[in-house]
Amino acid sequence: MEVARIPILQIENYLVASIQMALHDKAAIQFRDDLLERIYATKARGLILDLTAVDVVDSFLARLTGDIAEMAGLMGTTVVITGLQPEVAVTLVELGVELRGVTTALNLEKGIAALRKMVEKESTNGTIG
Amino acid sequence: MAEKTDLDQYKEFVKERLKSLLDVVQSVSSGDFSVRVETPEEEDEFTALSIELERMIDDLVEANKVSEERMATLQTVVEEKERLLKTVRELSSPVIQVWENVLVMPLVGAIDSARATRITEDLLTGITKSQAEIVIIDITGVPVVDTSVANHLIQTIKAAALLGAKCVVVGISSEVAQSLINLGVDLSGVVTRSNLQAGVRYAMEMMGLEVVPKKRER
Amino acid sequence: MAPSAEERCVPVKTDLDIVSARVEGRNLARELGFGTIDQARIATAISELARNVVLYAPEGKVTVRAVVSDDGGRGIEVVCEDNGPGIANVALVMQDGYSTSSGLGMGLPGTKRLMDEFEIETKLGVGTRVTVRKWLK
Repeated sequence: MEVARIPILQIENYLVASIQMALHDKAAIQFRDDLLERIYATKARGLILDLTAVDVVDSFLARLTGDIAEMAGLMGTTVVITGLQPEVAVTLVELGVELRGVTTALNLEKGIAALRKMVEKESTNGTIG
Repeated sequence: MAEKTDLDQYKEFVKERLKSLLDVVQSVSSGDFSVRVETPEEEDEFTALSIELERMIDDLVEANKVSEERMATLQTVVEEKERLLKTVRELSSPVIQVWENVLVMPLVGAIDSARATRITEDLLTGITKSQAEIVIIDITGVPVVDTSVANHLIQTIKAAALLGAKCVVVGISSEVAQSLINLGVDLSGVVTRSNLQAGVRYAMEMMGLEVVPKKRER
Repeated sequence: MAPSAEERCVPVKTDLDIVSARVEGRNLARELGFGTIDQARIATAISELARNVVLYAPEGKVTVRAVVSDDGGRGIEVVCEDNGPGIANVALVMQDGYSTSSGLGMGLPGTKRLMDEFEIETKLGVGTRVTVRKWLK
């Protein structure tokens, strides 16, 4: 059975994926694989994961997100998570899961701004180093 | 047909009087105070009981009224107290926008687990509403900063970070700083400044802003 | 404690059931009057518990119901039971930072933190039952 795939858009040199529905585990894993494939194919410098429509992030999804950030990082892509809802933020902190190596921003607009800043910084470091 | 004997007549009289008194007692015990004791004009063996019963019922009615009035007063007092508490709660974690994308949250008073949850919720709501990127948490007015309060603060800061807001804690006195270090609290991820002014300066720096005196008109 | 009429049961076998279970739980929580944040806490707790069933047991079920406490308070109760192998060392599993060899912990300490009451019964070779409750304030 085909799992409905989450659309991954490209804006400038960044990829943007917005999770619009409740992800069961298999779909989440499929999503992660799709993302990493697209990053590899497009050599995107940044990835924005928008979680505005996500109402529950449990330890599995948190771990998956961390995995995405780590694997993307290995490919040279900066990951920014946007749109975490307040109730999800509180739950994540109480659950005790850390979103390691992940930059977060309130919304898409701020996420892209943050991404630009970080990617710029990296390129500057690159030329000097 | 035999006539009723005196004994039978007497038995009936007793049954009747007892029944009417019993009816009254049953009504009263089920909460109906509207019934009245009927005391026949002619005095009989039950008159004394009737009169005492009537008096007792009157006392009960009176006591009931007093009790209901007291309940009403108590209810008003409780409602007033609830209203005051609500005001106190709202005042206890105000979130103030002092600049674009910069919030200040002054905390006054003790912070327990329940209050810490409310503080976190209020702060996150504030961040969402104002799109804040920096939050200055002023704990000058918090009397006791022990491990538990420190941990609550760290939780709040973590949650704010997930919404893209950086927090700076100000108002930690040197005694509090010392005791926190002695308690072994890990404040490594927490940015602190001495007071509100220093906190605002930090916020401005983070936002890439600078305060420059106005050029004087010639 | 008296259960009231509201009770919903979701069988748990695959990862799809995890989502179903937490949606049922969240719906009931909302109907009972819990705020958004508590709804999220309850849904997340159910997600953690149901996932353990999927990971460690052939199958199980999640039952959510409205409950009334002895002093009249209203709340939600979630019972998650399975016919899995049972937990050998409950104390170990309830420690923060504990994780099984595959790197996946059971998320029980976190679940306990999210809810007001937490009870666990387990029998090796028979199964496990976790009961959690949250009360309306």
